[in-house]
Amino acid sequence: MGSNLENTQAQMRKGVLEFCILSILAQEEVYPSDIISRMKESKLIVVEGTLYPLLTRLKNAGLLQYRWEESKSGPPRKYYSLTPLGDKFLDELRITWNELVEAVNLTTQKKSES
Amino acid sequence: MNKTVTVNIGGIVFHIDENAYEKFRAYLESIRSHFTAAEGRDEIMQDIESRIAEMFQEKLGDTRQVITLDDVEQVTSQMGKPEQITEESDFLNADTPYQQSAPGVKKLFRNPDDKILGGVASGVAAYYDYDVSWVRIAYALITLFFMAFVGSGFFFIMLYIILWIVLPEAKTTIDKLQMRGEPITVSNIEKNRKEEKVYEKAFAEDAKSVKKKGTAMGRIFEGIGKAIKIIFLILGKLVAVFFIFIGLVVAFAMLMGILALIGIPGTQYPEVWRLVFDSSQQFFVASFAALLLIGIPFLMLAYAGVRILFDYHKGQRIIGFTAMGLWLVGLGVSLFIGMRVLSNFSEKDQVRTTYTMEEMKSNKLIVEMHHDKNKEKNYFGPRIGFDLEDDFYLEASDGIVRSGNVKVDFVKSESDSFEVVQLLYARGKTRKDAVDNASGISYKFAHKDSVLTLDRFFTFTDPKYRSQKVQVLIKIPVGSSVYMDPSLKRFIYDIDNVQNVLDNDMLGKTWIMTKKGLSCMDCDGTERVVGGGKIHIDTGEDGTEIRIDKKGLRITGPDGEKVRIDSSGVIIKRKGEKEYRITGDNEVRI
Repeated sequence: MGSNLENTQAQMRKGVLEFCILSILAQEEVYPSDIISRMKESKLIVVEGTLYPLLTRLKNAGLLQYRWEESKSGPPRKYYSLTPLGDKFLDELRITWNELVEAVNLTTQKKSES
Repeated sequence: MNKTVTVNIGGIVFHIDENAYEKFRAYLESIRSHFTAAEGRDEIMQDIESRIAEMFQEKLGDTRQVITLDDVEQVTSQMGKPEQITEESDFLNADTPYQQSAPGVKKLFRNPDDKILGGVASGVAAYYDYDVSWVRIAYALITLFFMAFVGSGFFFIMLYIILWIVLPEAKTTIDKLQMRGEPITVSNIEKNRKEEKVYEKAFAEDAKSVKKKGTAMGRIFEGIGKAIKIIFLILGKLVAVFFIFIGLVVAFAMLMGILALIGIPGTQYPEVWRLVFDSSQQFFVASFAALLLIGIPFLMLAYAGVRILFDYHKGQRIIGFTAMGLWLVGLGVSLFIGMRVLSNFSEKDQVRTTYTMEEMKSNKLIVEMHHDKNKEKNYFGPRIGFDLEDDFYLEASDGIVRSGNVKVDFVKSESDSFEVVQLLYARGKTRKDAVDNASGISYKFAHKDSVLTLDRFFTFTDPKYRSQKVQVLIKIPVGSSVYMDPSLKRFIYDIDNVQNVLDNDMLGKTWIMTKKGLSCMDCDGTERVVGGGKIHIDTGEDGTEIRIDKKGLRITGPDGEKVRIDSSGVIIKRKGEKEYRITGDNEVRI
């Protein structure tokens, strides 16, 4: 049961991961470790490495862009922001998310009532 | 105390403990193996390395200088295991890169760690999980077996060379794990690297121990070792040059072949080869396929030679694959056309015509081949034949084919007259085709008085070669004789005769047909059945004779000695003496 539970939890997390990353990026231009610290607070991401393949994929899909910035404490950093396409994409996701929350609430409440 | 390694991570130089370095390296390699190039592997790795560099720098602060195993463990756990990284980030792709290089995926590689030639056997052994020694022994035995009993082990040698070219070498740790089908995990990579280190150390220690001894013997052995190495190196290069030479020579010959097929002036191509094929197109395709089939192995041989000569080990796999593909195409087409062509030869039949020589005045027939041999043979057209002297040949010109495949035999006639039976043989797709092809044969002979003159060749006008051949049976009635002219040489084969004289010794002599078969009339030192119950044996050289006839049995020696048995008794005469006569009434007279 333990691994089943973990699996389901991981699946649920995965589903909203992209939505959350795009939402963070919509607020401000950020550096990946900023995203991580914010997501770690909410326990959405367990390990940091997960983020890099995701960002690369979103960038290659044309949803993100980045610029380089020199850093005092290491190699130059990539600062990511949303592209116009990314904005539209996020809007769509937001609508879907709201619908989903409503639908989930409805279903789970009904269950507990009956 | 720890040894440290200097590394460049994300463009920043770090000093890292050796054990920590091993772990870190395995970690990066493992992550790398979980992504494909299409997913942006390089960029992902760059990002991760940059981030790790940053984390290392934070950990070191201003005081520490060296990254320890502890640091590496902390950073990698923060970054996550490769499995975690891919699992959580791959939800967009149905077929994840992780599965593509999933545990247990096996790939065929050449194994550079355990090799005699190219590491092909070793790689195959790893792939199928066999012991490498058995693979080598089995392959060597099969090759030798084919060399000894089938006549050529060439195919197996070629196969090895092609595999050598086509298969990539297992260079990285990941390759080596995939070669054995082990799952790609951090711990496996580490384990593998440790094993490699053990080998390296063992080698290093071997070398050291030789050096440490530092004795004259040690130095001599070292010198011999180096010399042997150089000799092998030179031998290798010589073999390479040989490969290139052979390969290029054959390739050039093949090229000439192509030019000949296209029919460039100055190159002679045998028109007669086309006789076997259905159409010129089929002939061209077949020639081209044969060219691929034979030419490609030699070109690849030259290519292998070039690679050995210039130590160019990397090898373009595409070349190997293309060559193998073309070769297989050549093989396929050759087999296909070969079957088509052979099917035209599947049935055999014959047409028989008999000519009776009614106007024979004497009972002796002279048989000869047409004399003007050279005039007939020359300037007709291109030919194939075993050699110029041979009368088995094919020539083609202007749609007429001429063949020298004529055989003559002498047998007993059932009737009272001489007969010439022509047997025209041919093959075809069906029996009917075979008969048609046989009927297309035109063979001529001339009969004048007692001389029978046979043509040295026959022709056929439907210009397709279908194993046409002509057999001339000359039937001789019992009591008649035949003179075999020496021009029959090469046209006769195994003619039955009473004395068992060999074919070529039968020529230039007269033979009489008896009830038992042909018997020589003018041979020295041979038995002669004269007929009518008489037997005369003449040894020829010293005058010894045996005669059996109505008068009885007589044996005569060279100096007049004799034994005679007749109705009056037995007579014995020794050299220079009188006769002794033994009669029936117990009386001996001198």
